[in-house]
Amino acid sequence: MTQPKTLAGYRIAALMAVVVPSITALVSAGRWGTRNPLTFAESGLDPAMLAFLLLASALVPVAVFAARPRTACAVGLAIASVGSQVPFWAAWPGLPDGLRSAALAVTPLTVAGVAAAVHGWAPRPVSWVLRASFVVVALAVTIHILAYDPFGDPGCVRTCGNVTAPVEFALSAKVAVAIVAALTVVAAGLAALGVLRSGALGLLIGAALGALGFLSALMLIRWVSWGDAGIASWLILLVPVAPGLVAGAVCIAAFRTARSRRAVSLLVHSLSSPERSLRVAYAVPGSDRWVDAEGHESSSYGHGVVLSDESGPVMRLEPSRGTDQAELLTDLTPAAKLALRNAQLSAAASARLADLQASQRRIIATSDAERRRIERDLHDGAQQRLVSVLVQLQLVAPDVTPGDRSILAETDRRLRSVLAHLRRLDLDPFPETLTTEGLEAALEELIANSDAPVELQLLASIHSLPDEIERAIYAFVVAAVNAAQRGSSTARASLGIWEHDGAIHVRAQLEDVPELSSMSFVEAADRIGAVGGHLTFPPPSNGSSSIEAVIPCAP
Amino acid sequence: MRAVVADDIMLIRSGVARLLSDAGVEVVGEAGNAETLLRLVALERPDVAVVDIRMPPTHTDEGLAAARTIRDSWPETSVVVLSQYLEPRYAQRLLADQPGHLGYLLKERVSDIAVLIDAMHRVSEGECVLDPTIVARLMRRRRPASPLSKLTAREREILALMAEGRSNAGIAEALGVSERTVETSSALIFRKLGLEPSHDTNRRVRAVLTLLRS
Repeated sequence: MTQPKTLAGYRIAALMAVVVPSITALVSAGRWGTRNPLTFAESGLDPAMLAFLLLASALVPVAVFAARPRTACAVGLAIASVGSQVPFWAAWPGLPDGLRSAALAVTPLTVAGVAAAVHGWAPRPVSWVLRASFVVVALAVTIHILAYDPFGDPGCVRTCGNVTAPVEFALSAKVAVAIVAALTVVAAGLAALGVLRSGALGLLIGAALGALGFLSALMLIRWVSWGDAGIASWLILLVPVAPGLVAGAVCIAAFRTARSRRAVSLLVHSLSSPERSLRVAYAVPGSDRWVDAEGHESSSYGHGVVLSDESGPVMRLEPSRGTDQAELLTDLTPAAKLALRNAQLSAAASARLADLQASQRRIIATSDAERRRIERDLHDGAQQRLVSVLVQLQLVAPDVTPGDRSILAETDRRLRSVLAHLRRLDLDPFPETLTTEGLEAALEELIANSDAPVELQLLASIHSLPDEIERAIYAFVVAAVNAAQRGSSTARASLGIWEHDGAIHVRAQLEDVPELSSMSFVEAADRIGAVGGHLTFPPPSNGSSSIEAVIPCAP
Repeated sequence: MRAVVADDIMLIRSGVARLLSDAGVEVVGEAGNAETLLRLVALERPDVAVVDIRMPPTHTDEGLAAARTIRDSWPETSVVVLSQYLEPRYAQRLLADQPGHLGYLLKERVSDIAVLIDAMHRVSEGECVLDPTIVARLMRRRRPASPLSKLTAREREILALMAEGRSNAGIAEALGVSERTVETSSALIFRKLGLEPSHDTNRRVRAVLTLLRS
């Protein structure tokens, strides 16, 4: 609701900040005859001085532009600009004398303007101090206007120091100037107090204190040097230095903020490839871990700004050294915070998924190793022993009485059936070929041994894949081949393996396999899931199914 | 017939050696690992080496490597490889290049000493002997491109028996047909498999090779 008003305030401030110095430049560049108590008005400003003034004055509109969303800061700068520039206009003889002396009177506004500019940027503005300093400044300006009118008797300011004024009866001009100077110093003191407690950036506080001290010094010098028109002129010339100082600081702060804001917005927009000057680590909720956007563990630089919300730390921004970290998060909008929170959740989800996959891989590896161990024990242990028992039986056979021969024969038969049974136990789901000769050979062997016709179209290079991926692919093909073997007599399978977009795709097209259940692909799906892939099992139609596995694999 | 026996299990090794001796085979040495086996073969030049496929140190396919070395270095020694389980790929690897003078049997055949001795005789005569279980698995394949698909059921049966190392007489006996019928069928099988007429043993081996490679 306040947006249009705020915008209007900002526009007025910007207009003032541009128009006022422009008029000043015109006034200062001209020569305005000899009836002036301002010495520069007689000779005009020398070019070097004019250039310096223009530079100091030009900083203000630049700073107003730089401080853009902060209307209060812009207005403060504009007020400081008015306070420091308008006194120059007194040199213009075209203005009525009253206005000219009023123009001279506005210098204390600079103090209030400087304070307002800094407050406009501070996180904890001390409003009452600011208001108090404005009141004091207004008082000083009023007294100046009422009690001091050097243009009523232009010659006197240099010689008698006692000129007429609207309130001549009450205050002499000298006393008025002294009061104005004192009030200005008080206002500057109040402003300094407010600035110090505002929590503004160190740079701004420093610049404001310098400017306020400088203005106070100028006012005290004016009081002390009362009657010297040359010095008074110089003092007016030097006033724009104060807003220039603050404007410069605002420009620097705005530049820095814009830089970090840009980094943060870049970060928000492309969290996948963060700036090199800004590293990001995300907190994993419920643990002390920090991970990067992909969910990998992140080691710390040892410094950085932690952004937290009610649920705990969200992320840690780790800018390169020499960055003012306090400013890093000052510009975060609620939308940006939401985006960062979102990024944190996705990073944490990735980390958790990676944990789960790792545990799934460990479980599968353990179970594989266990199956291999059992199978080895069977082959090297039980089977060998049974064979040796068979041999022993053969050795004693000639000595067995004819009556016991049938017992021996029966024992022999039973032993053989146990051996045949053990041989058929296929505990290790992977043949030795897979380890010794690779996936391609193992698949060829698997297909060659299939009872159902299976076709394999190999369009990807499947050499030197990680073991786990080889096993996942093999398990998938085993499931497909088994399904085809269990199907009707005309069942067949065609397999395709290809690579696309950094992932291996394996598709099994099964024909004439009615009642195919996704359960037959459970083990393959588990293995594929453990290596970060996924398996799609659309419902079979008319006895034909197309099952596809996608396994990401880094090139 | 002179033979060496290689098996890392002493009970089986000595048992088989005794069974062979009792059956009239002269066992000239026993080996517990591939190294000893190769030394024995070099020293004794036996007619046949009976080799277990699993031997120290890895207990995987040391016997297979030893069998190839024997066939390459001492061609007059034939080899019968014994395997605890069926791994057709092993059979293929062993027999792919030169299947003659080689046999691949299931380990438990050692107790059927007659079968073992029969196989030993056949390999020493230059034939190739495959265990019936392996042959059965090979024959079960249904691959349209294979020349085996041109064979009739009866011809496939004959080929299977041939792969087991049986002679025409043996095949005729197993199928209950005349030896003459088997001979005719064999000739037809060889033609269908594209095998040029040559020495009968050689053709039989090459027919088995076709089966293995299909």
